[in-house]
Amino acid sequence: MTTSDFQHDIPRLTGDAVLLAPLAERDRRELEGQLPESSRRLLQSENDAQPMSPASFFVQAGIQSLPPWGIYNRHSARLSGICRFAAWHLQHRRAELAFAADGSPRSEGLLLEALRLAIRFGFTTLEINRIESFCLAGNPATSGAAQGAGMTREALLRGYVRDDDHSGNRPAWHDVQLFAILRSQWSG
Amino acid sequence: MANTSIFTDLPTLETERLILRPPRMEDDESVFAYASDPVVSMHTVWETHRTIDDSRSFLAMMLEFLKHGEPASWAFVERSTGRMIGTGGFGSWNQQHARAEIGYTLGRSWWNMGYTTEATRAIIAFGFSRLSLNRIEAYCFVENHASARVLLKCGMQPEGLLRERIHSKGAYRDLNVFSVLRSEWAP
Ligand SMILES: CC(C)(COP(=O)(O)OP(=O)(O)OC[C@H]1O[C@@H](n2cnc3c(N)ncnc32)[C@H](O)[C@@H]1OP(=O)(O)O)[C@@H](O)C(=O)NCCC(=O)NCCS
Repeated sequence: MTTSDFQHDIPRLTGDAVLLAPLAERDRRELEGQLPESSRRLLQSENDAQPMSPASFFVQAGIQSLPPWGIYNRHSARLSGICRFAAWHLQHRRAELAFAADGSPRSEGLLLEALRLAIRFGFTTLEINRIESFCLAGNPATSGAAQGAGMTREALLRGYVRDDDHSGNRPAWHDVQLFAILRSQWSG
Repeated sequence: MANTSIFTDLPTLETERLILRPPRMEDDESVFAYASDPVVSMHTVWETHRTIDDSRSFLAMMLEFLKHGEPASWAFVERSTGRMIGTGGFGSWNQQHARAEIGYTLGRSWWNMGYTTEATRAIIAFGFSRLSLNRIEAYCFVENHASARVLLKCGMQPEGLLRERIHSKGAYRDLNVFSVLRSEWAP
């Protein structure tokens, strides 16, 4: 498999209750309106956020991001969240699995199944060794999903993200929890 | 986006025993002297330098970064001898979230004299005052007790252990992550 295989096309992954399918542009816009700002930003890979410069090109040459999947209820076809392999470091065989969900109680189970499917895809098809997720501290829905999908909490990164959407206010800083699962720890 | 004024014209920092100045191509032999030492590079992500061309490429890359206003390392010069003994500075700089990562390397003859701690304190102060950072972070291999000690002495706090995060020199390596926040920085 070459690394560019999934740059533009990602496969549909089907679970019991969930369908991961490439996110339609219309769905992406709609979802972005529903997600809290903090989740929207975490969805963005750091690569997307930074314009390319010579140094960052050098650093990012071996880093790729896959397009986002929509997390769909398989039966109702309703969109309830989004997840994505961002910042796939080829040399280190590590990738960030970024995700967010609409926060409704029903979407929690779908998110969990979605993460399990994505993790399986990462370990088997992408042959990644380490999958990590950054979750805002104090958000039990996302950290619970990460842990439910088998990830281990490894670090609390203090003051890691800035919330600057409240114009006029002082910037607010948020701590981020780093979760990760290794291929050797994954039970399939 | 790079802030071109700061790094294109990287200021020289002075500490009690060191001068931190922009690197130069003429530092090639000094860099090669320590970067070719496997005892030094066993703790670094970069490979041991095999020929002086490796050291020249490293310096050329640093100069290229600076030319474009991107963060790069300072050369550490020992005041008493005028010798260039190591490098250190900012690696990645995320301006959106006002955080940056620091790193450093010192020639083995100068280890355990407090030099890196002295230089790193000056670099952290620069990051908070001139780059307006909120968070300065550092990652080191878990076996690198000397580096962890430097970070603790500089007021950083350990935040966790990242398993197999880097593949370097044929193996997956665990990293410790440390940080210091602007709000807790007391120079
Ligand atoms: C890490 C490094 C830069 C430290 O530089 P330095 O100038 O010797 O650091 P300092 O003298 O300021 O402090 C070193 C501290 O580590 C301690 N130390 C050294 N070796 C140690 C060991 N094996 N175990 C525990 N502590 C150790 C020293 O005692 C000292 O602490 P102290 O002041 O409390 O006694 C240097 O060892 C180096 O270049 N290593 C190879 C490259 C590298 O590791 N780079 C960093 C990658 S993250």
